[in-house]
Amino acid sequence: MSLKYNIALSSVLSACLLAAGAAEARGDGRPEWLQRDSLTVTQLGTVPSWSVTGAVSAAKGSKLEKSFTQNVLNTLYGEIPGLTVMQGSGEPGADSPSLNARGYNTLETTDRSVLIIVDGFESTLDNLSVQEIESVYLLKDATAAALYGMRAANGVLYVTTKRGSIKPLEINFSAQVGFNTPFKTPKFVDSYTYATLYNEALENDGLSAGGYDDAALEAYRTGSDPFLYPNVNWQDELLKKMSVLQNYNLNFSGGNGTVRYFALLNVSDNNGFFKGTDPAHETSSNSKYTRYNIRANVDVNITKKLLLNMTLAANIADQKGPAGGAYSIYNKAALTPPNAFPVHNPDNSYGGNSAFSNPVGDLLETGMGSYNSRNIQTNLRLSYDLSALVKGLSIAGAFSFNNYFIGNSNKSRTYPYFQVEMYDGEYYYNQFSELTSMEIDDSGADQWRNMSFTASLNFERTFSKKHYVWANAEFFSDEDYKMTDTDLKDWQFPYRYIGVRGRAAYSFDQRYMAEFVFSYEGSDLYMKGKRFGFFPAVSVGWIASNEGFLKDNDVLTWLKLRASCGTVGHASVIGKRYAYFQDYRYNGGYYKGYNQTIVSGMTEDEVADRNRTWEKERRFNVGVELGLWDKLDFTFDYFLHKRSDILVPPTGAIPSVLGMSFSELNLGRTTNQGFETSLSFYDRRPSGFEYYAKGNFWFARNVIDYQAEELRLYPYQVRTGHQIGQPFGLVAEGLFRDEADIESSPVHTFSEVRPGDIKYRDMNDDGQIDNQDVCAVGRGGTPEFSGSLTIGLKFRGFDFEAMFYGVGNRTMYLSGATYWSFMNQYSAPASALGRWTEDTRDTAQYPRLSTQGNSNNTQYSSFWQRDGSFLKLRYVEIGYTLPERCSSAISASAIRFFVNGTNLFRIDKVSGIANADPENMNGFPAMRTVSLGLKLKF
Amino acid sequence: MKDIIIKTLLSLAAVTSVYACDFLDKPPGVDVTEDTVFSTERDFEAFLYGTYMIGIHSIYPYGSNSNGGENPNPTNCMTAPITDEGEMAETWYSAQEWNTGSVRANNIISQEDSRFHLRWKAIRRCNIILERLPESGFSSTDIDHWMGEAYFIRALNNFEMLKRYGGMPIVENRLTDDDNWNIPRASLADFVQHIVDDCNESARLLEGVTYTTSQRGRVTDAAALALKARTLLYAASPLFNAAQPYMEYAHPELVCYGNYDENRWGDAAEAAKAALEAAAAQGFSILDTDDPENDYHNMWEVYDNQEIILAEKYNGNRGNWNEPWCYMLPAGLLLNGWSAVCIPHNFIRLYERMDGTPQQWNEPGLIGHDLMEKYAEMDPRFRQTVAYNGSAWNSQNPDMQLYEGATGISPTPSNNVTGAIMHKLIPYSMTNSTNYQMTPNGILFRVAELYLDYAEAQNEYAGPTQEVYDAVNVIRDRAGLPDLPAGLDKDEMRERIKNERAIELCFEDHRLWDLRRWMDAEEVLDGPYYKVVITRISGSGLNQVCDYVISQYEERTFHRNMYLHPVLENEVFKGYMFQNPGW
Repeated sequence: MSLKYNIALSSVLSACLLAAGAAEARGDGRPEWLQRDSLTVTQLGTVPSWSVTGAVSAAKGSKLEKSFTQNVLNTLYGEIPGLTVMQGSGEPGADSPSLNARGYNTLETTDRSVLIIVDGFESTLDNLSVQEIESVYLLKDATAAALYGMRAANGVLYVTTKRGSIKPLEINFSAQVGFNTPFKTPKFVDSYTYATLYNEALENDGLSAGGYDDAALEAYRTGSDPFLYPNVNWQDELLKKMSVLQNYNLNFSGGNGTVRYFALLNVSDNNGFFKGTDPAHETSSNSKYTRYNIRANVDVNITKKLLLNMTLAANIADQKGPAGGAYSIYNKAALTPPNAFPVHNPDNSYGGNSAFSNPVGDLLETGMGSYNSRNIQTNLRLSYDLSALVKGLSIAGAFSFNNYFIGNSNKSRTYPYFQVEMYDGEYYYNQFSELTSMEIDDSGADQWRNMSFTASLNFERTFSKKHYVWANAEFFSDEDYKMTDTDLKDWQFPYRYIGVRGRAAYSFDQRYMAEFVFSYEGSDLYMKGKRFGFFPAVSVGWIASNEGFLKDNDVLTWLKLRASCGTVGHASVIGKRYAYFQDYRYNGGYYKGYNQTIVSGMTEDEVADRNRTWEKERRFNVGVELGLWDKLDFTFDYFLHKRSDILVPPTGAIPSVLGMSFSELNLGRTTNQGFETSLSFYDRRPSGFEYYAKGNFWFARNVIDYQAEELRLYPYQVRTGHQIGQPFGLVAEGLFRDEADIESSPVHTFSEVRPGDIKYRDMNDDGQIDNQDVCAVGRGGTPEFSGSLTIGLKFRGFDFEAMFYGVGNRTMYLSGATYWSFMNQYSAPASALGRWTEDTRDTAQYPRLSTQGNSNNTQYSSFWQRDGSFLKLRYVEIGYTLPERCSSAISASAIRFFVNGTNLFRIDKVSGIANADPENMNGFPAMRTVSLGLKLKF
Repeated sequence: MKDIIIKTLLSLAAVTSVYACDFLDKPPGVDVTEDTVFSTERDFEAFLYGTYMIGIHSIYPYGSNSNGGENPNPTNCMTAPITDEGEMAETWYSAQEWNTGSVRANNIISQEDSRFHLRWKAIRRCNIILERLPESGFSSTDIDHWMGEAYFIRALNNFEMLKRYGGMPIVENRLTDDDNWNIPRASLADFVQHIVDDCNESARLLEGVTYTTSQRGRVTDAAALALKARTLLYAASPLFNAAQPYMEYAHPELVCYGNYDENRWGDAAEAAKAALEAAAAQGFSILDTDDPENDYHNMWEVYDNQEIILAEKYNGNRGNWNEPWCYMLPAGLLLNGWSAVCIPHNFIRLYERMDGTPQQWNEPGLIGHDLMEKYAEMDPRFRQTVAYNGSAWNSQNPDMQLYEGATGISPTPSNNVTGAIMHKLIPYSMTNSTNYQMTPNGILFRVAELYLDYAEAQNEYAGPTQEVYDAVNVIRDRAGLPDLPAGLDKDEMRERIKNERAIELCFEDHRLWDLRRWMDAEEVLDGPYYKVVITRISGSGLNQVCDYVISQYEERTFHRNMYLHPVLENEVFKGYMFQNPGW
């Protein structure tokens, strides 16, 4: 199962295998991640890479380290062909992106995440430190994933952590300190502009009252009265220019024939970029995240035949933030109008009004939330060599316990803020809210716990030097508790899976390979008798370059063809905990009698679905691997995935006369196809100058084949046949030019329209724009293709590496107060400056301003959609390794200094609009980090 | 050595397979299943009351679900503003889509029939009771009693479909995986018969069952027979009791009998008579204390009064800021109303004077000078039903200023669309200081309706006999009006009965369905609608002097396809139900 375990088992591996591995390790200075691995780690043990006939792509921890961020998942952008990583919030400690493998292929939106296996057991990855990661494999096709049976279909990420090897003690120390700045923050207008635009909006609405008079405008323009006519840039008041991100890492590794070890200590800290918070008092807190990771991976040969692998990892994390959440404060800074009130009134009290509290006061006075989590990932494995019984046979048993607990402590209070007005030259203060004592709520907590057990029988042997046979069978049982509350509810019963998985592989002379993989797995989600599913896969491969006619070819150094097909599943855990079980519940009641006594009512819960089953996905994959001149490596995989039995709401299929509702039935079907390719190059000049590049590109397109959709009146309204997540909205045809344009257009029914409002297309030609005109517009938010390019060079101790990452075929949607002016009395974005007016009617890209929440303009439509493609410089790093004579002076074997930039710049198509970030349209901003680092090796 | 290892492996395999057997079983818990429901009478009662909650609709308007259950009429709107009874002051209610003829089959749920899916749920619950209760082992008296209630609730929900759609699918069993769920619509004749059968069965099982006051609200045999009477009255009416459907239609049997048969009126008359007798035996009677200025409004003001055979009781006390009250209270009073239900002058015209003669109103456009005098002459039910200019709403709002340019505490101008506002159904005693929370008592069946059902059917079947006169005069007597004049012929009597029914039962969710079954809707619900514009000359309250002019405020549209609701488009698209004609 683990890398070193298998190396220790190498005594039973054939000489042939060792020879093959050695042949592949190319003895040049290329980075580890550019080498073709000689061994591939799988759930059922390490195998020689040449024998792999499934589709697996991998990333190495050493490369992921180049992205400087606290969350390992945020180092994966573009690194693994087929794995699409979508950035979310940039809030410290809450910045996990979403992952999908080969796109999404389920209609589920809540339970579609990638299965993460760490060192052979289901676990989480986001709170590990990148320095403890050895490799991350994405198991893409049926052969690679079928071992995970009914949990495999949404993709499997198999992670291995670092272990010791036979070598003297090696100590690595690194320190990296960086400066974070928000990648993009939305821009809003100043007070004068705000007031001018507001007056214009009122005029557009035909309203006269409530505008700003000339004196007020003049005061805003000159800034003559900062109390009554304030002009506050709330973002400047609340946000520092930068925050500090630091990471310190110390690890020890080494070992001998009996004991091998890897031990790690890691500290990572982000101190947040809010201004003025006071760590000494609990009235406020910066948005910060500190994490401590420790790990001890130890392998012991207890006897000649008995091997123990121990994996112990733990981390403790403290996340803190303002009461109400960092995003809430950040959002308030963005949306509070600049002229609403001053930060502080003349008497130094907080400004505020009936609509808004003071963002600065909210940050500094309302308390804090802290979230303390601990996470333990442990497993223990014993294996015993049974060669005495049958040559090549061994047995193993393993136990894993993973536990995560997070406790919340929220301290909150309210504070007074005042609206200031002037009468007869004196200030009058109108108080809102009041100072309360701090309330403490420690009740929130969340935890999960996995306990897993496996027992396996393994056989591996080479017959007659040419026939390599490898077979395993593993029994497994998993129990996952998820507890978010103190009282036990039925959905908190542990989720349980049990089954047998196995593999049989044969290869002849390192030329022809065939493999059969299966999992027979059951889950407690389903009714007795319908709990177990069989998930088989077969694959074949041919290494043409090992054939006699190519064996000594200098150009074509590697050529491998492979194909696979099989079935995987996804046991969706949405909705009722036991969907097959019909229960009744108390619900509402009815009054009887003159005294109006209520009697409880009981109701049949949603109909039991006795046939509830898992989603099934049939997968087909073909791949080719090519090596030229030992410098250029190329791989290509094409896949076709057909998913069925997807849970969908059967609204369009179940007659209402049944009298009961089904929440969801296994009726949906989808198809997903695409390809992944990567090309890498390495060369070393005689001068010692090394240069290299690696490009990845992948594409996945899905389509909904069936989803029990209700019948639609018009073909353009049908959702089936489109991609999953296809947005449906109105087609905008620009802005109304004038009253005559409105007269000659279909009647817009959402609100009374005026010139400058959005004009929509009448899809059904009924002379009326309403919800019936909604059709497919744009694309979903998940990119169809992604790509990355890493380039690097090394010369005389200097090294340089940069990575670009880009996505395409996706649509972003601008919505909410960040983009829509004066919504809910909020501010106006800078993009409102390009609004429609009489003079700009030919060029305006933004509708007329309105104070009335003009619902015609806020319908979901193509007007607010933008191309969400972008190209980003993920990281660039320049380093210098001191010559050996310098490092040996302090008895170090290597000393390297480096400068790193992560998330430095991006080219996209939405930057002009309110400074939008196409990866993160409304959330806490992602970070740009520039850092300095030092690495020492002893 | 080999043996030991092999034995160990085999026994390990055996242990794990035993372990695997129950590892995936659902842990034991406190699950409530259907067997639990039918295991004790206490649990069953909870299921029965849940069935009332889901199965008994309301004439009051409700919004989204509250009280943890399913609201009895979540449309936000009564049916009155879809008829000449009302005009919603605020336009966000769906009524205007009917009045402009722009109802659509794809959103009929939000436009009127928000209980479309809920009724099938209620019927399913009744079927579960009817299927499981006989084998429950409870006492046979209890079983009969509860079966009777289940039959009634099933019949009521089917009737609510009958009046909207005509014949609909008959679902007599709880549908399971083994059944065909695509049940087509039944013919109108079969559907009526199904409802009548259930009513008969319910009345038989509930015969002689009486309730203490603490059990009021439960179904009696009188309620079952009243529902049967209403069903047969509807079935005998011109819309259904006809040779041809009201529009060209490929499936005429779904919306009419296919012939006219006078005996259907006879059956209806007989059923109404039986219902009246059963009601009398249960102690239900017209609330008539010879106080015509108060008896009528006490009929909705006094909770569980003697006239109410069955009322919906979904709610306890509701604040005047809560539904249903806020959806009916005028904005601007010292209450928390959102939108008045205004009354078009078209309806006001139906009220007679106290002496039984028609009120004489000026032609539209002509100024009259005696508005307050005219109001003072009206049928006492007018004064109790309508909040009119100068009348008192309650103790806090003694002078409804509905004249132009009113300034005091009175409905806001936008809540005064027609110069008259619905006051009926809202307790007079509700203010914002005392009784700010009151319990809605949603009348579904009351004794007065049975007299009118009987009079109408008997007149059609046997002509204007003395029994017909007697029945109508019971109503007029309580109202404080003189008896009908002798010597009316059948047609004249029909017109008087229709008028009496309109006045007596207004705002109780009858008018829309009555106009449809009489096929009067195309006249009454189409054409100009009028308001009264009031100019105050002097004085206040009822002593003021006012001019008035009647003027048109809107033109309403009724298309003939609106004689029945469109079936929800989604359901039609599922392929098992035919759409109604013209949709």
